Amino acid sequence: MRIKAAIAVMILAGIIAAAILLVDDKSLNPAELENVRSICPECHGEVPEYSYAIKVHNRHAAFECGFCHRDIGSLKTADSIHKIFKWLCIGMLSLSLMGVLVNLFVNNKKNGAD
Amino acid sequence: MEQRTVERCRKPAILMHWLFAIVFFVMLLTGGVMFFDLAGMDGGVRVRTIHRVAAVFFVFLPVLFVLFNPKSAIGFLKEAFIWDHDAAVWLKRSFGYYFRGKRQMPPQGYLNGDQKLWQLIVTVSGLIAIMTGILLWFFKLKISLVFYQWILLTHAASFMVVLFLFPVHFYLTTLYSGFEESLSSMIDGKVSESYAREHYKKWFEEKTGEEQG
Repeated sequence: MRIKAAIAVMILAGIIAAAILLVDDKSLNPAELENVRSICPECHGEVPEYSYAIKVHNRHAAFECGFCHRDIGSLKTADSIHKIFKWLCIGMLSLSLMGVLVNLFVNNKKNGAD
Repeated sequence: MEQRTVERCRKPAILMHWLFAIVFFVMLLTGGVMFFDLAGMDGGVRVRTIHRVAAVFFVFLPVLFVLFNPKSAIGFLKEAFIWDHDAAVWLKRSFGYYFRGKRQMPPQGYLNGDQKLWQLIVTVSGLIAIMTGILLWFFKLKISLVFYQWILLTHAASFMVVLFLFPVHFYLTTLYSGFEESLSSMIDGKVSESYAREHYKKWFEEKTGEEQG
């Protein structure tokens, strides 16, 4: 039991350690970090998660706008498909809930008749 | 006279089911908020944090279950991935069975065809969600942007499939009159003998050593 628990903890520690080693959030120097702090709120208001702001900044500094964006607030591939996904998801969920409700009604009626 | 019962689920499996259900629900809810862009940027970051905390449990609960109950875990996977003819026939006829009433349904093993499908979908979509989730969380800036977008969409697709089937699972196990002992079996682990014989004949006969009549 203890060995298994130890293995579980080691796996957890290994994954966290690997993640910390592989993910570098410190690619900006202090002046650039300060710049991120001042630039983000111009468009986004308060940016609560600092490391996330750095990631966003890095991403935006590395590519031309048109590489990812069709227009402000949308990504070319992801957003086009995501829009379809959203409606598909609403449709699927409605279908599922409708099926459940119809079945509940049918079965209640049947049980009442029996 | 009190009705005789048979054990269907053991305590670790019941505990695992409910802990996982809580985590699953939190992930589904926070995932839905992000998927439909309901929280805006500030709220989105908070929701993402909750989603990630839940994701840690989403990964480690099954890992711990495998470590502490390897036999049950293997059994779970076997039930999800190994289908006999009767389970497939059940699945094929189930729509008519639920809507048009009692049809001739083949005898089932530990799980019927629908339950096997749900277990299979939870397992496969869960694995896809975990793998894509790890990439989205830890390797966002390491992978190419095009790949990142497809990973994001695959993550969303796994969410959609589960969201589509979850109401059916919830309904059949709680409100559907034909499976009236389903929920209680996930609480005390027991079902009545008559229920077991009616719903899981092959499993019941195997468990009790009862001959097929």
